[in-house]
Amino acid sequence: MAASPSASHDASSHTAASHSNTRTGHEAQPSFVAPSSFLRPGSVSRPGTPAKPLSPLDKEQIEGLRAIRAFLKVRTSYDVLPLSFRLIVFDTALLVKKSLNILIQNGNHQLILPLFPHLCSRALGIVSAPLWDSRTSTFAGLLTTSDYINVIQYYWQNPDALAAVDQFRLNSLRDIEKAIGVTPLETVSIHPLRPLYEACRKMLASRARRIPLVDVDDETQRAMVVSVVTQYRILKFVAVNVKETQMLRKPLRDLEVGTYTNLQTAQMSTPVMDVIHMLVKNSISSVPILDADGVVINVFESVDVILLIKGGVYDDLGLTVGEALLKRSDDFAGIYSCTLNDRLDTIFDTIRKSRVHRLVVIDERNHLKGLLTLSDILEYILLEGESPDEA
Amino acid sequence: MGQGESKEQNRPSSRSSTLPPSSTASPIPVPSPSSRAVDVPRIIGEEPLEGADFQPSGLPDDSTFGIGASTRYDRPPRLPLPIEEELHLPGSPIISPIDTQTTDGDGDGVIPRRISVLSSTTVDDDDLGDDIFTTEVHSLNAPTVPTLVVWKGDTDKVYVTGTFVNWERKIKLNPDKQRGGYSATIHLKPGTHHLKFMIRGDQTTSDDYPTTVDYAGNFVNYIEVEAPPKPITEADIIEAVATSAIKAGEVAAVGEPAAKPIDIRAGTRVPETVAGQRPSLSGADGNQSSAHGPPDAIPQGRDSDRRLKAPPREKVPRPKYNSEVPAFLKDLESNENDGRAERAKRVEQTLPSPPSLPMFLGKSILNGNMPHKDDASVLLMPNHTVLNHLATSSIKHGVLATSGTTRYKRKFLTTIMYKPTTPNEA
Repeated sequence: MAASPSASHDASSHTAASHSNTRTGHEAQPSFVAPSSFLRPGSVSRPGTPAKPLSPLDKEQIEGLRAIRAFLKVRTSYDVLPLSFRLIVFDTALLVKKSLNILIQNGNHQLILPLFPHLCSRALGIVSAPLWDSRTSTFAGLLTTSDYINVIQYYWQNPDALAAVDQFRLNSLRDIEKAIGVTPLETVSIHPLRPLYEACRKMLASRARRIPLVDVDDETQRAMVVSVVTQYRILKFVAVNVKETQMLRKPLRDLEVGTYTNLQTAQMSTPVMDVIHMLVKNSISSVPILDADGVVINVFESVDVILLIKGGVYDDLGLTVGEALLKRSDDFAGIYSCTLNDRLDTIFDTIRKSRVHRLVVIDERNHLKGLLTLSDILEYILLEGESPDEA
Repeated sequence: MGQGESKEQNRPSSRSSTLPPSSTASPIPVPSPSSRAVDVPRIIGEEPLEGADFQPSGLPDDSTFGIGASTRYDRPPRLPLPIEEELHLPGSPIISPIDTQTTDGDGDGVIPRRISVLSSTTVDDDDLGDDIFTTEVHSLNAPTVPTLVVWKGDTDKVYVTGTFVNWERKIKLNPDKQRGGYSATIHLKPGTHHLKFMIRGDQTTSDDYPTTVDYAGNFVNYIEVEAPPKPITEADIIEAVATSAIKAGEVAAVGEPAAKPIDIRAGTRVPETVAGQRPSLSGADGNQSSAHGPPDAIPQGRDSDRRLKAPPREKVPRPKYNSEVPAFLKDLESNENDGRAERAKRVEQTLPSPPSLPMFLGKSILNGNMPHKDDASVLLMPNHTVLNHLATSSIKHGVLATSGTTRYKRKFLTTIMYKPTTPNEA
């Protein structure tokens, strides 16, 4: 490569300034591993620095991304759906605590609610459901874990209102949001026959992790929800069907994927309510749990909130996060981690084989380096290298 | 089942549109919506064999992939990854390494009969609760049907693989001079088969065949092969004719090709039998000639004539309906002690019991095993007979769950709605 040492130094310091993700040891990298910022045309102008020729690794990465995007633009959300699939819908008149039980029970693959829900600690099968308002015969949004978190917040702020909280129905969720001052997430939806690319863009724009597929029923001319598609399902579909994911061989340290700064963390002794507050305030979906030496030992995910209020009992909110995590079921899949040397091809492979929603990026001493979520991966896949106008 | 019988009567109409060799518009058998009912054999739209040899190109690879490895990547062979062993279901494609070794199509002449693993078979009653993917018992006895598979496009080598070979072998498609592109005739058992085409080592789906996603999430094409009808014996014909006069009349009435299959299958004796019955049934000479005459196009007008000449149905007096509750039902509930209630109860015993629930409806797919442990929203394929029925669970904790399965385009959607029983609790 013809880059002079001073030019490469400028480029790398420029990189550090223009992007918030820090790169460890980036300046020490030999110049043949070109940083991905060079792939973005016109984003940052570096007068006087010639564009570095792309290495074969870069070219392959670009090629792989292109193939994945082409796939996403052709395939539709309908294609992702299984041949025979299930959709759970809640009437908005249902009590919140009962809806919780139902979600857990459906993880048990049974239609009948057992008599002792608190004894069932199976893995959470389904964590969200569309809501149906039977008075107006319309769909009323999507029930997700953030709604349960909001209920917990409300109870925390109004501890005397336990009786009221107990009687909350799903149609009062919007009022709860107003009461605690949370701006409601806009519920986007998409027609099942629109391309996956569009569904992903909508999810990224609204920061949602799932999107309902809405079609018009031809008999009643009313909106019907066909299914709810999650980011995980789409990425798994890509991982299974697009072999070009294997072309993404650039290591994470050279990519701009994931969050590496301003990471919220907690310790096992942190009260679980503090952790929940972190989730809400920062609009994040997980908090890594570190020990006194900074070693990552667990991650508290937003779906774990359901474990807290499973029995309809709100007493467990006084627990520490360590005690709360004990409520996880025995067949919990575990925390997935990776290092900065890992590449997207292996990450896609992991997505294909297991239910991964996020990866904790650690170093060789198991210290926290960053967090890589499915939204990050999706954003990278869709938007990396595209001009800012398209973003 | 009653449904089965009525399907038999519909058979002639499908026969008429698909049997004549030259009339199929496209080589691709267009699956009809009702073709999902594999347990009722129907005639398919089949191409006559044109001597397009069917040459399987056996891959040198072996049955280490007998367990469901669903790696899609054309890499050197790997042992099945441990987590995929849970996908023990034959529905997941087992892709063994593809084109690193290009074997040029001279496999052995016959593909060994493998389990034809169908992920959308509708199965006999007893199998509903079990793993419905092993359809061995079901399909081993079924004859295979030569089916033409076509790839339109311009490449040098085209192979096809699929569930019919357990994704372990690829079959070479030969250039088809007549149609352009490539084709091969493969013997497939009746049912639905997933397939994918291999072009230069890449697996792709064809736009000419419908696509779907199988249980492993792989995006595949599929074709539906219908079983050829069993040869109808004379006894069957006579019984069909005798039991239902009008319907037999309609068999011939639908059109001349309807007569043809009877000719072909049962030889010359049958038409005479049918014709012999005809005069007693309809008294129309037109029927006789159409039953065993040479195939010539009979205009639609004569069909309706024939139908009119068929003997009139026996008139069963229509029951009169009203909205008055019969007295004995009212008496059942009466609490007066004049013995009316007891008498009504006795009458009630003598009444026929209502029909019991058909077997298929008794086993909901929601209560069956999950085909996919990780994915709670994947269900077994429903039998088409349970579609659009309302199912419900018992009320627990004041919550009622109702569900129904419907088709959504080419897939099945089961919606479960949870409702409180008392929405306006104070």
